[in-house]
Amino acid sequence: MTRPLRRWHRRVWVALSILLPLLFVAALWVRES
Amino acid sequence: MSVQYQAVLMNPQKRAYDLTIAGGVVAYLAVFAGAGSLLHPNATAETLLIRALGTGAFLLLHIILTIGPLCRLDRRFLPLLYNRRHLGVTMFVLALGHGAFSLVQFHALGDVDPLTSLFSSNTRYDSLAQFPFQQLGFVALLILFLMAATSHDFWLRMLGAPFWKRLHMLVYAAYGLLVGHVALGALQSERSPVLAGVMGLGLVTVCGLHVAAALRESPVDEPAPVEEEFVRVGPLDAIPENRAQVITIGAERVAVFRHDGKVSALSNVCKHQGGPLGEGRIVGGCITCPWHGYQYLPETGASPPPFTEKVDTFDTRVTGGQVYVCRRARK
Repeated sequence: MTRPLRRWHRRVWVALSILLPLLFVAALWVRES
Repeated sequence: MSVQYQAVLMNPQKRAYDLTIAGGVVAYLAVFAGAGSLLHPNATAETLLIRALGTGAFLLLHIILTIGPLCRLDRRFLPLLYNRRHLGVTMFVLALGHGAFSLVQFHALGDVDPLTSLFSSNTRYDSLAQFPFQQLGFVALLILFLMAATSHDFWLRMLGAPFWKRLHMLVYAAYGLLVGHVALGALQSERSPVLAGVMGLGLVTVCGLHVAAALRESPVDEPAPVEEEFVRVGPLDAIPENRAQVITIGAERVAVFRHDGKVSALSNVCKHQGGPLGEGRIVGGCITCPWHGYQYLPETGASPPPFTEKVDTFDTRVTGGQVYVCRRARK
């Protein structure tokens, strides 16, 4: 991959690694409440 | 039209790969349906099939998404990358089956057509507990269709490697949508801790591996200090025979290979799918991309005839046991 694509790829995964666990925990919290 | 369609060329490795995928999928569906009918005797065959296809596709997507970072962390996983597209198409077929059966089961028995029903039966976008999760799955399925339909090398050549690669990175959007689809759908009604546990484990594995691979890779992207025409790579002895050391010069990575008492420097980006040439090795006198085996001659950067691909090359110099590479590509 070219460097811009690698940078974009890394930023996407940092964002997903924050957002998706938050969504998962929120879904569990909603289910239990 | 310069791009012509050629049927997929099969070889023993591809056959073994495909047979393993097919065997794994059939075994998973059979075990899931068998165990499901024992644990939930009241569940209909359609419901079991929908669940088996949906979980199978989601599991396969996790496997697909772990292959890339695993290969960057450990070269022994590279054989899995070679035919990853076959896994992707299989995953799409499972997801399509899940979507089609779900559409028939939940949206085909009313007065309106199934697709209208899908988008109009639940519009509670303001509620997390009752969020219309099926729409998320539908959009993800459209992305997976685009990817499966363009997975053949014909489309790679037609669209060009940079655009094709960007198109196929939409899989990350599809993954996000599918996590939402499952978390706001099945996870809300399935009270057993198994689904939540497996899903949480999958999420941690996929995200953890990508972040670990990114942390390991990002220092290589720091450009080498450029003060002179030639940039120092390091000691010649540090480069193994028929392998490369990768250095970033200006905007891009350069792979510096050592072979037959010579040193050659080329762009690290393969013309096929942008694979990292510096992580490959020299086989039969040619630098061989670790992703799909595309080959280039070390001195010229050109693929051996009849192939016509060519990557940029750079002048090199060895002084006092140190390797230097010119910061500008050869004209």
